[in-house]
Amino acid sequence: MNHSFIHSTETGRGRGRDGISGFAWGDGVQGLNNPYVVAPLPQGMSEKDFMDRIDAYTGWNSGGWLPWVNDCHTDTKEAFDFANVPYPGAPNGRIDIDDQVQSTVEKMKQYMRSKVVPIYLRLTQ
Amino acid sequence: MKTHSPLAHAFFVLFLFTIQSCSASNFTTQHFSFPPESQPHETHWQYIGFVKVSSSDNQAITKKSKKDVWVKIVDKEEREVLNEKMQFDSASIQSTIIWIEHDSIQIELHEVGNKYSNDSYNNDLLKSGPVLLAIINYKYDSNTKLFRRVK
Repeated sequence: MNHSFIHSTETGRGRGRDGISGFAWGDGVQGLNNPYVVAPLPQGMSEKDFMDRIDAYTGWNSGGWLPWVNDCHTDTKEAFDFANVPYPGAPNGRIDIDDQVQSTVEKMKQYMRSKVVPIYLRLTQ
Repeated sequence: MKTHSPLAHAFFVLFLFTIQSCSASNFTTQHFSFPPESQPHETHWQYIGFVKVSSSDNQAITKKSKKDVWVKIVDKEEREVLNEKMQFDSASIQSTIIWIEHDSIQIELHEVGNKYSNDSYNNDLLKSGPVLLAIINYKYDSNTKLFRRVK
């Protein structure tokens, strides 16, 4: 699963949830070179002001971790909502669907080649 | 022999994650890098570091409470060259990092008010201005190739 956090390039400040459950991915703001999405701020809102709003959101790391229901992505979205800034979403969402689908289709193709073709040959004999 | 169903295992794993999640801390980070013209979110830095401020009791980070401050710097090979933790009783903490010459780092820690926190302590802080918590100096030790705290 992909991790989601907020990092302000202008101020250097960041905020996130502590990974999957507080230990799995260490500090919640890491991998600053990973794929990112730029969040446009409303006119007149500085990055410092945005990060102050994000810091004031009290829902970070609250409650039990449950993917899609209460995870780093929901925390980030709710913090954006609190800051009154449209949430752009993390790059590729929670799961890299494209890669996973491609891998699954490839495995199915290999499986079909190994199983289906002999049956087909038997049927046509 | 009695075996647990896969569903029971799933619940157990989820329970463990939930317990860990509840104990997770609330934190902010301030990233920085060296040389001065580099940016932590880019790739041409020689060192990257962060000041992580967390409220160990999972209080809102803007509220006055016990705060753990963790300073860590690694080099390009991810070797730790500085790792120090300290504690303050404070509202939000913001850091100013001065790192111009390789061998010398200065970190200033300030308690600052947050106008979106909406409590009397933060309102008073906003009126009075930031409070200096600490000025910490580090020097590079060429023998150990680590940064160490100096007075």
